[in-house]
Amino acid sequence: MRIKVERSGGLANIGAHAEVDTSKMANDKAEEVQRLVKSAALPASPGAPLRTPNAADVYQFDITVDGKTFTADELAMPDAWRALADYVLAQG
Amino acid sequence: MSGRPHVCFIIPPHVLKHMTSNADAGVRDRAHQALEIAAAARGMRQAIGPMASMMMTSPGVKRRTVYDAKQGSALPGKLVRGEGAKASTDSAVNEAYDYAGDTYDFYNTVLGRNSVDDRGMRLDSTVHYRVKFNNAFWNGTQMVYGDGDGVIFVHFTGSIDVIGHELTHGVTQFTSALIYEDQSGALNEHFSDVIGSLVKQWKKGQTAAQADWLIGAGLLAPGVKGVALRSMKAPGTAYNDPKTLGKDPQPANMANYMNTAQDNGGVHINSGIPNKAFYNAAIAIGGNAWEKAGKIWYNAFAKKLQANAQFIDAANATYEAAGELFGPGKAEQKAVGDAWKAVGVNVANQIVMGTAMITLRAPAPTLGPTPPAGGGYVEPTRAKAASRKRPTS
Repeated sequence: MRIKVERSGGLANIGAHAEVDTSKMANDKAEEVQRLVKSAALPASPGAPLRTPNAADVYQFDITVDGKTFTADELAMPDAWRALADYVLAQG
Repeated sequence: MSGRPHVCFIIPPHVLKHMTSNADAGVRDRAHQALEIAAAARGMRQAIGPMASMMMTSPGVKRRTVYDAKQGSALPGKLVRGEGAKASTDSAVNEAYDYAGDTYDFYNTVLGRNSVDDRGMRLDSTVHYRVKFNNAFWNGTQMVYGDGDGVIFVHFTGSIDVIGHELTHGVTQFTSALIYEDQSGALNEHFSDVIGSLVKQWKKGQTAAQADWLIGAGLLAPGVKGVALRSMKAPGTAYNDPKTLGKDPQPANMANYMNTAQDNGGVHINSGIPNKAFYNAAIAIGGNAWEKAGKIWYNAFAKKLQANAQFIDAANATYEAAGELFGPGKAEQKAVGDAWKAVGVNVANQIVMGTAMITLRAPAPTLGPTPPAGGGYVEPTRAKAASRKRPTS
């Protein structure tokens, strides 16, 4: 399973990105990624980006799992998505 | 008989504030509750005030509240300072309070606007959001500030223009409601940078020529190669540090407009183009930027633009506002047209006849003996067209 996380925007617009491939990771980390993906319960197909009405300068996250990209801002995204995004970015 | 409700506070806010630090949890909670109720009541009074006295102009009333998220993500967090309360021992709390006050004063004094909603809305800020959070934002209701990680950024409340920037997102929300995506989003960002910079210039008493035109000067951690988050004077030059930030990606001309899906379509990137246009206009007009350029931009952005406005719409609206405020064809209007042209955005409703420029949307010339509005300024083409239409019978 390949997962790419890109963070953009924010007042300073300083991006961050990281990509992991569970088939090339240590077992414990691969298992953690799989657990986080399962917990994130991403929908079958990406819908419209999740955006907080009237918010500005919040981070935008693009999470790509096996080729499908899910976009959400930091306030609109479910906590489980954030946990996955933060874990993957920490591997980068 | 007065229909005006009135709300009294038995315990003064500063005493309530003291009670919130009481060791007894019950006392603490009740004091917090009372402070919240007091704050809500003040909000209610503010909302009812204008209705109760329709004929009176409502004076500006500055009301600020600062909360502490204590490194968590729950908003707004714990109330730590209300309006009129004495300074905190926490400098982030005081910066959020003081700079929100400066921004309120700027809007009220210079632009005649009573807070974010023009009805005295309370200005709420939360400091110490999350752990080492490298960001500050407007969540649709309030300002939120991170402490920075100390490696790239230091605490975000340290910069007065950043606080002016965040509050102006609130003003945009209550006025044009510029959609936070692509060009309209870059205009939303741009207007926040404009007011943020003007609040700083006004506070420091700097002319356009003296100002640094930087957004977030002082936010970069020691050792980072750069001066700020953005430069309105020279977009693309605020930082260049391969180890941390990379290079400032802002363009200063439409020729370098960046199409991207990230950052809501590059709202913090392409704002460099209108930012440079504002700088150009302010420098060309001269003097204090808030006195003329600032008012032109405010009238355009808060009173003319639609939510889906593009750069060309902002150019046209500022050009039109300059004509309305300082006279069509005058130096201010010419400066605005030239400022946009220099960044690759040509004002549409501007035609050049020799050296004179006229606005096509100026009031139609009157046919009778009354001289045209605008103190004798005559539009040659229109006057001729009008005289041709004059009935001959």
